[in-house]
Amino acid sequence: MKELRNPPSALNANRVKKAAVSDDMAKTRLTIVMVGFIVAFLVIGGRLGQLMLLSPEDESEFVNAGIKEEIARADIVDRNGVILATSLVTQSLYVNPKNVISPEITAKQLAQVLPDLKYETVLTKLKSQQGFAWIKRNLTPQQQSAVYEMGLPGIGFQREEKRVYPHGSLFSHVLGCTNVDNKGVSGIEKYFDEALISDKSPLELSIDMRVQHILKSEIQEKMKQFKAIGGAGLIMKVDTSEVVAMCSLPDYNPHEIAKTAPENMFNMVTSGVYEVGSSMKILTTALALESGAVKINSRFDISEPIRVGRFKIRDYHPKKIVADIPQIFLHSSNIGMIHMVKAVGVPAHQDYLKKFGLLQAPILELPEVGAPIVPGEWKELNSMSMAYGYGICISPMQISNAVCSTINGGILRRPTLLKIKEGHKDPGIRVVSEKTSHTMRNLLRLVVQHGTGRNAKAMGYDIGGKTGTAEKVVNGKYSRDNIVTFISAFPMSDPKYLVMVMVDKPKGNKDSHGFATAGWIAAPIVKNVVARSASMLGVTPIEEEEATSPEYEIFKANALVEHH
Amino acid sequence: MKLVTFIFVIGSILFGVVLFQVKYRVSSLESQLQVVEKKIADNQEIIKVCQAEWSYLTQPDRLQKLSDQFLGLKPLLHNQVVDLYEVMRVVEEENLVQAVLQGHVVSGEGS
Repeated sequence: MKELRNPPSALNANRVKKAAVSDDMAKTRLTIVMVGFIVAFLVIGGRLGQLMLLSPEDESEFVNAGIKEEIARADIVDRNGVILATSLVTQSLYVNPKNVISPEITAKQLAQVLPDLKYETVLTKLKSQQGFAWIKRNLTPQQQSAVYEMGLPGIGFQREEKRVYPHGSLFSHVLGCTNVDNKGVSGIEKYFDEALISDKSPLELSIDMRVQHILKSEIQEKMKQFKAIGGAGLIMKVDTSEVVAMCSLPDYNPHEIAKTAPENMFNMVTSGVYEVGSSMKILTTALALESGAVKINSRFDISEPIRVGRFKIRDYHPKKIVADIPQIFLHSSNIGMIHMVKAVGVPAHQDYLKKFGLLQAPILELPEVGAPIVPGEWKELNSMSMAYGYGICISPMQISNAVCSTINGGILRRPTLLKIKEGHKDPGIRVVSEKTSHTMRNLLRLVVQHGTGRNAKAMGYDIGGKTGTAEKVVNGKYSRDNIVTFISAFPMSDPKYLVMVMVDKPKGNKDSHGFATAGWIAAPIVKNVVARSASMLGVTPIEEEEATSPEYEIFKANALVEHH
Repeated sequence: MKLVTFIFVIGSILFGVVLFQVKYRVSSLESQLQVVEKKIADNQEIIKVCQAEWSYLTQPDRLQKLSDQFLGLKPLLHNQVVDLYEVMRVVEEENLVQAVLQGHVVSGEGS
């Protein structure tokens, strides 16, 4: 024990020295290890925190991808916000034939739940070598759950969109339709195909659903009454050229385009071009007055037929008089119109028809727009026949829009199917003066009060208009079949709406005293349409039986003096 | 030294607990959000269906048939719309008649 108390020997000192050195080394090593561990723990801790706090976002994005599918095609609504076309989510049934265990049993079960499928067609699809085949697109929810509950292997559902038109055929020629892949194939659906997909807000049309219904039902009724093969109608706002209603009959159900005959898809208002007959006299008179070649009290002898080429042009109601313009217009004298155009001259006539937009296809938001048929070589003969509406084929849309300009104060605007917001009115271009426009209003009123348009007289609404009964060309010859039109506007003192009605090949019967003319068939349609829709369109009725103006009274007195 | 370690240990435990709580809260909120978003999407689809159905059910053709059957409503006639001044005139006339009948106003013929 004593020995141990002795001070450290040299050997011991040496040992202590060695221990101190190894102590230092151990400390250094320890530090290195510690730092290593701290770094490792920090990395792991950091990663843990990162996983805890940040990973849910990545995860949720992944999960949400499935449910965040939005409707791809925007709605189409009318001017009052009524839905005309919308897209609904449906499920479509497909098959992966490679995973089907028993094609026969599967096909049998599917045919039972979905009665419109044929067993054989399903079976061939199930047996095909492809990896994918549609069995049925757009199932109803009941059908979907029925198929789902059978739990058939190889069968699956795909979320799809289906275009739905709640009003069926009412807007078929305006909206057009889409195919099974939701692409627009006609009408507004085609014209705005890309816009409807890129812009999610509803597309607002200028159409009024209620007025559209009235127009269609009235035309339909008269078509039935007079066994007509077709009919068309158009209502436009006179001061903006917005289309408030447009229909063409026969029409089609946009849900069943596969079953539709091609002629039902034809839009008479915009695609069809016709010789419009006497309706053209509105424009002839307006341009003659506007050109200055003819004054309102200019007189022309209409007692003798005029020779135009090989033909002798007569009047439908010949009058042995030297008539002024209101008389010519009232009696719808072809002879008078020819005299007027001759006074105007071919270049000016051509120029005015161009200004009215009759010589080129109108610009409209529809793919179905027909180009007019205009004579290649334009001689006086052409102008003479065009004066009373033959020898030029134009669409009802074109002439209606041109007539708007003659009664709205003289401004021509582009026709449109889109709602124009307050204060965004197209400035348009002036085609006739205010004065001519005023004269035209009075002339049109005269025809409804005392001329061929008498059957359009609707109490309280001061309608003005012009009839047009044109013979149809069949196999290159004029036939006995007519296309009758009536172009009108109301109220005539300050026109708000233009109403154009056209009936193809009506047959006269005892209701029309055997006549198949515009005055007996088209004019009454306008009367009914105006009487039913004026209050919806916000037109105030007037109390007088015959609205008037000083100019109108002079026309009336002059026009009626020879015959009453 | 021991105190520092002690604080460090307690601190990391606390931190861990808070972290876990935040994580669970976030994930539960996230799943709630998903449920709500799914519900919104579902409801939007239902609203679209309802709107389409409303438009379908209010087809003028159908309403007209129903009206003919149950209500007997007729189109508005031009003489059913009158000027406000006309209404005022009728009301004033009526007032005058009432006044005469009650003897407040003596008419020209005298009674």
